[in-house]
Amino acid sequence: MNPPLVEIQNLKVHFPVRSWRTFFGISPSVVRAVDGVTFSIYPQEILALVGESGCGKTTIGKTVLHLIKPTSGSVCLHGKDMVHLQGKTLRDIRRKIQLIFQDPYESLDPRQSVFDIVAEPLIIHKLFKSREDLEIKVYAALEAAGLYPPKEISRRYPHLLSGGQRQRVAIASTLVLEPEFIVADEPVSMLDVSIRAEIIRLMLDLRDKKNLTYLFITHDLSLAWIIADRIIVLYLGKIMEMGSASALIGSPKHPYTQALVSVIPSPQPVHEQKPIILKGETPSPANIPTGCRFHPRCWNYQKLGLPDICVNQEPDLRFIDQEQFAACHFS
Amino acid sequence: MSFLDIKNLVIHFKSQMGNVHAVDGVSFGLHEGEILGLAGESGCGKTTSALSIPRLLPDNAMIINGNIFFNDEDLLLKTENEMEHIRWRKIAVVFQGAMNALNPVKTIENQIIEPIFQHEPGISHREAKHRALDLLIQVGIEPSRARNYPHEFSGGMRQRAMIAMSLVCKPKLVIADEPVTALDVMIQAQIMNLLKELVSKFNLSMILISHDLSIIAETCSSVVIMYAGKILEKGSVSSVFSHPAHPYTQALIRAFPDIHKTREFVEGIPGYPPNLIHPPEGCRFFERCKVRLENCQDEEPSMTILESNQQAACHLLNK
Amino acid sequence: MNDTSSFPKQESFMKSTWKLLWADPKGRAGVILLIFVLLFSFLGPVLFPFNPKDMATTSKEILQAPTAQHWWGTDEMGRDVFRATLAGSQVSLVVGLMATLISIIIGSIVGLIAGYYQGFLGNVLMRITDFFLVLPILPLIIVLAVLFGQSFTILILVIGLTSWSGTARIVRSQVISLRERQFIDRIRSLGASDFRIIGVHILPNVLPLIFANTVLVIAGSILAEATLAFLGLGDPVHVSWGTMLHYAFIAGAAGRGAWWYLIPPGLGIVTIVLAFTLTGHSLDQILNPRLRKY
Repeated sequence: MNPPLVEIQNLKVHFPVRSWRTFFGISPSVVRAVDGVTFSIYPQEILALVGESGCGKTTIGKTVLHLIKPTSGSVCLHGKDMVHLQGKTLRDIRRKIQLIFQDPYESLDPRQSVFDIVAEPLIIHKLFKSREDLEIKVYAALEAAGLYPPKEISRRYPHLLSGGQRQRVAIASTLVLEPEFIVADEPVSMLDVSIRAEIIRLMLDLRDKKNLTYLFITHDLSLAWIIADRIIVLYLGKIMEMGSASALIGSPKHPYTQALVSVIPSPQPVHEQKPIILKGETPSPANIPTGCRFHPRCWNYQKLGLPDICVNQEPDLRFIDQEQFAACHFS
Repeated sequence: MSFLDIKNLVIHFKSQMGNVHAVDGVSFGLHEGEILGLAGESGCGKTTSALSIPRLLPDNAMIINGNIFFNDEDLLLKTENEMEHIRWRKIAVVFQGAMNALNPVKTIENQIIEPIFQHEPGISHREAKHRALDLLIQVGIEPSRARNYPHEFSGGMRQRAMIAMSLVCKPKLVIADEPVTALDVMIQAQIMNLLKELVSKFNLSMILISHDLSIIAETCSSVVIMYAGKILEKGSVSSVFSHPAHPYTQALIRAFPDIHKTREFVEGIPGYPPNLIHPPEGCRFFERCKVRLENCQDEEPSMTILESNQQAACHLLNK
Repeated sequence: MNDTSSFPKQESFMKSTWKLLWADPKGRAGVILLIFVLLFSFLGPVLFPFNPKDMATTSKEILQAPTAQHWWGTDEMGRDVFRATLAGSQVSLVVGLMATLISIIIGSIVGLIAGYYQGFLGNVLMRITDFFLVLPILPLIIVLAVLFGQSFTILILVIGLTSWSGTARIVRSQVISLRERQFIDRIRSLGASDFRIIGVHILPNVLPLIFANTVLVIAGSILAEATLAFLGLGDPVHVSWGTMLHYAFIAGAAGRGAWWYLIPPGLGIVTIVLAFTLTGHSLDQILNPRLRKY
């Protein structure tokens, strides 16, 4: 197996909360958005980070992109630490890692034409020799992203483009720097269903043609299932389960994953399976339960008669079989 | 007799660039106690069609034609005054983005009581409060939290509060517009379950508007598939989803990943919906359709009745 | 496959703004008044130049009601009020515009920096802004007039310095909300420098707001100048409408019923301020990002 492209070790991202309540100790003072996460991303793989809101997936994505500074832990690219970089080395790294955002209506500067948007990365990194060279690169990126005719589209402004087209513009602007690694945060959740597949197909094609690696962040487990090679399920800032997409969905080992998979709706429902609908909601990351953070909502915890170990000891991420890992005392 | 029967509804919107033919001849019906799914992608006209029932359309909307028979009366013939008596008492709406539509400076309890007073002016404060708290329990909110403000509620809880608010005057028909779209998948499951329970407990009828076919498949008994202001297919959920007749329906179903099937990539539908200011002559799906017979571009297909519980508008079915 | 020809023709931002401005009754009235005012103040003095030394020779011509010779009558020195009004319009306008320039430039820069860099720098800048916000204009100008004499320049400086705070606050809050938007995150993740982010991404998005605000500040500045000049603190050499009113009052025009001396400058001030205010409010509604369509 190839050495990993990105390695994340015991990453913690804690946000302090300051208010009169925390001052007097009435409310907890730290939001533990990411609470000790370790995983690797291998070249040309698509790794999906899946979880509900508040699980920390977006925070991890932003940390990898150096938009947020971690509280502790390391993020390494090609074996070299990324967290403490500055200046020119940081800028060079930034070229290799790109980001696709969720909201195609918000991720583009409304005042810039498509040309400006796609050319900007080249201008920032001074990667062009002349105006003609810039144009060639921009048009090539637009075409690679499936936008024809590139010259005409480059003159338009975002508000005249559809959601799918805007997302393609965003993708083109990442391609222009020839990155190695792309973090995609819910890249299609705001697009119509019939357009989603196209954008995802584009991303997959680009992975093959340009040797890209993806970190795909989504709350949609069924989407992760068809796109990703491996899936990581997060809950309250920690990994609950990690494994290949087919294994994780086909036979999930962690009670949380099992519940999530059981409630995924399908257009042609199979009525034999009874969905496990968890009660209540995910607690706030400022108030994380002791021991296994999932235990208050865990159906298995209930079923096994409230075992103490779940309340007292946080389970490690253990190897189950063939690359499936789960953080549960009982799987 | 149908509980709700919409016939030939035509609604256009005035805009700076011309009239948008948002809904162009839509007919469907609902039986009492039924949950009907109104499905389609953005801009297909599903919300406009549904909100025309309680007549809650924006100012620039023009209802050009059609009848909306509710309990054998045509709602479109009623005056605004009469509609005010019907809204909330007979027909209630849970709006899209309802979670963010709550008044941030009023307690949840007060906001639920408010419509009671508005629509039943003679009611005593004690009875109104009792009803509100009772409903909160029904939707899964503890009465001790009734005095909280919206920002103290999570997204899922706010949606439950909105549902409670819609039921407060005991309506017969509830229109839920994308009630779970912005929610996490587990909360989605909880809320959809809740809606099903409430429908059977209170003997409601519901129109569920959603772009998510999976949710409709798991919750509704009948479905209407809309595209560019027209209905392309409608029928019972079991028929339509197991053997979809219209190419659009087939393509749309294929665009949703199904974990119960083999793991293969979904297909999208290339292209865009047509411009509704100058809608095309023939079938509105023609541009993006894979089939495309000779008359599809010029002649608009009419509804063909298939089995007892399915109809689709496609020339392919007339051959 | 991705044919975009079915999308509407791209209309330039300026053109669509103009269309909306003209469609709004407030905006249309403002623009018409503005055109009138600008013609008045730029063409007027060219066609009807004013000679302050052209005074009365007989006592009958002093404070004379309108005649065929003097369309708007004469002032207490026998000068033609019509021509004086035309000349005064330029002064009022120029002082207003120059003061606004200072105000907008300072206000925008402070607002941009305070909004983008928040933290300590932002706080310091905002406290400075607060200081200038409450600085009373009247005592300040009196003190400066005593020290440096009354002039056009002092007026412009004082009005400019006491009005930039408003702009700074507006710009700052807009910058704060812009900086949280996803596209800024994206640009930052590309490795753009702060300078680039502020100059290329934030400033163009704040510019419409600044523009609308500018028009309103012009109105305020003209009014401020008129007020100060009326109180006698204007430039004695460059006579503005405010100064005219000042002299009119001193000459007892009100008591003597010389309405022709009071109404032109007074109405002039009202008209010009109204023109800028109406246009400015309409522009604000159009350009305010809260209300944008897309």
